[in-house]
Amino acid sequence: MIHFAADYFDGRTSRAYRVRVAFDGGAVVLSDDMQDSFYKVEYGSIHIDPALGRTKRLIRLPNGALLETHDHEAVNALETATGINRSWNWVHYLETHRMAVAVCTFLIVVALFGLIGYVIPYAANYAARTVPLHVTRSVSKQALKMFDERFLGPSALNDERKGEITSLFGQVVSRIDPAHAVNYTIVFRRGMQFGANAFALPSGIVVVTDELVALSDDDDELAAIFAHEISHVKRRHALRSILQSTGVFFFVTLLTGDVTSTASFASFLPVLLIENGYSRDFEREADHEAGALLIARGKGTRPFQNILQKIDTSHPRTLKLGVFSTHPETVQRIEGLKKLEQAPGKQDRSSRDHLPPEKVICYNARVPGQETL
Amino acid sequence: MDPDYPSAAPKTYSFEFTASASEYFRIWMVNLFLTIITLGIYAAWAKVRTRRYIWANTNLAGHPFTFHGRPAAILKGNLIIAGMFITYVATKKFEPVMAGALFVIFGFIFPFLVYKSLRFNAHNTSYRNIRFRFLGRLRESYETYLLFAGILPCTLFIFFPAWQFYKKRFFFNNLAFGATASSFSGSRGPFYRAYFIAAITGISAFVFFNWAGSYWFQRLSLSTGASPGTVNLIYTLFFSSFLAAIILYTLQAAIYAITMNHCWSQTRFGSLRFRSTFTARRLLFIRITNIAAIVFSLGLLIPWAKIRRLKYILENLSVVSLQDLDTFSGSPGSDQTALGDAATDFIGIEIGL
Repeated sequence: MIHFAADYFDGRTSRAYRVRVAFDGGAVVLSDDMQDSFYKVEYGSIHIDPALGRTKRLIRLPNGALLETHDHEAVNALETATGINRSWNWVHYLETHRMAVAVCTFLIVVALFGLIGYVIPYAANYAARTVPLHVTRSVSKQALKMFDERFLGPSALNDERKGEITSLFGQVVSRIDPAHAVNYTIVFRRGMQFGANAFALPSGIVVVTDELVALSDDDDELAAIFAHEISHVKRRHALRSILQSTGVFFFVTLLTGDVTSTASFASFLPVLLIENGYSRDFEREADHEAGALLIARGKGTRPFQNILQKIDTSHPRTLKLGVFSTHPETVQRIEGLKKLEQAPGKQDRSSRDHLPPEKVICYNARVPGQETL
Repeated sequence: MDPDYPSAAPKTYSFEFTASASEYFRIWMVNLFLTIITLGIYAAWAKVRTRRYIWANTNLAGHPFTFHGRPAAILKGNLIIAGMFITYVATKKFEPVMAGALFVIFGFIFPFLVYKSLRFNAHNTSYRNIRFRFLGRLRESYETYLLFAGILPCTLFIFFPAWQFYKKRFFFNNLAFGATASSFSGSRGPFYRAYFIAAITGISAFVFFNWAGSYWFQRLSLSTGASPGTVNLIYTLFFSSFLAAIILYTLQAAIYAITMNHCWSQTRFGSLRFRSTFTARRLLFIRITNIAAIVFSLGLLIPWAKIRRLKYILENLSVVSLQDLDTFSGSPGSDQTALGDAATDFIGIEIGL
């Protein structure tokens, strides 16, 4: 026999009636102040809202009435006796046990690492392969147009030099991505405030600045840069980074509940850090492929190291942006290339998530679908 | 004065918010965990639990509010909204021209979602087993969220505070507690005042902090030997826009205080009215300290921040009524799907409380 006091609301008026509730194993019986029972119902047709913190327990009756009570013990006993909410109370169990919450917290951290480190990149990589070529072409065309209007000037190189570089570019393409060689084109521009730089658009357009051509001492240095950019295109880094950012944003929105709360306002920082982390991973991948190509051609990674160093020096010294940077620090990139030469075929990914402060080697607005040097 | 109660003096009932940050933290953590491991599916159940908890801890005259929303309905809404979101983002990135068209299409769907959402929230809220209802018409939703929103740019946004007023009026003027419908007698004046104060404060704060920041950046660039050009570039790219975002965001708290005080004080349910005493200054302070707490705790204080803000708002809200709270009568309500509910949470409309 389970007894408890409750407030009874009939649903027709807002009046609260004090009642006694009794459960004898079969029916739930309600009686008033005078001990007169006025309502009786089989337990199978009542609904009990699952327990939630220390909030009042609510029992819904089939006549539309509602019982409110603070007697948690009695309602728990009623649930146990009737089997109501059996499938729900484990959530309440988790919520009310400190140890369970601590385990959840730990598992959240693990799950987030898994999600950010593996699930999102894997899903983005898969999704990037389904984007049709005409879409990437239209994105790239628009991005290049925007760059031409706002940042870049016409190239001053003569046609002969352009021809030489274009044929060098063709050779590198045929080494790195022979199956899709027709998609690649090289365009020449004056870098203006970009200075010595190169970047690839997802459809295979690689933009090279006059300043970079002037900075390079031989073809191997240029070939290294081309290989790096072509690798970005081949591995669809630009598309993947768009998809990954979308995934991260979507998940953060889901977790913080909505996009206008203080929590989501404050979450822009972790989102930025995660996205820049992805970007640095892509840079390392592209460096690795370019370095491997140079090694395969018997040149070693020295030319690539040289050109990276020169580009770094050609840009004015800048603030260290630390983990806010989209590119690994030049010193680290050179270090990575040296390691690659000692043990080719093994990529250095040990420092993935624990990077010391870094600085950027080039500034530019982050534009969708663009991968810089 | 209500003829039924000629000699009664109005009674004041204060809202009491009994949620505890530690209890809410545990619920939040478990929600987060289950949402992550189910790749977002559990979000609907999480939302129901969160709302139930907040509603159940909001007490008036000793009795709590109750949230009745069903997870399955919210899940459906979440899926539709997620679909719209992904379509939009993908289109915007890959086919920006098409994204414009999509934006227009969503613009036509949005008022419908708002309408659904307001109905869902009201119908799924009860007090003393009497359900709230939302009686607004779909037509008014389209006027408010499509027509007025559409002509906004033509008025150079001078109409903006008035638009905010129409949105609030749509909500406060169309509620019903059981059989008792609300009436709203607010005006545009306080909205213009709120936005004017916010604009003046915001612009002065931006000018001041921007000046202080650029001075600091100059010092920094001298000491590191970086070229001034680059430093200025980073400065404008990051610091200024970041500063503007923070100021805009914190000032919303002040606008909220001024406009919501007005809205509550002008809303009646029969002879029942509200008194709200939250201040812009205090809400501003709460918002700034909440942001700081969340950032420095790496997000762990999110539940604490939410409870703290709600507690302040609710405990500065009270009901003044001639009619006894025991004597309101109900009216048969109908169930709604959660489509709109999830929509507003996602797109982010403030709808009251």
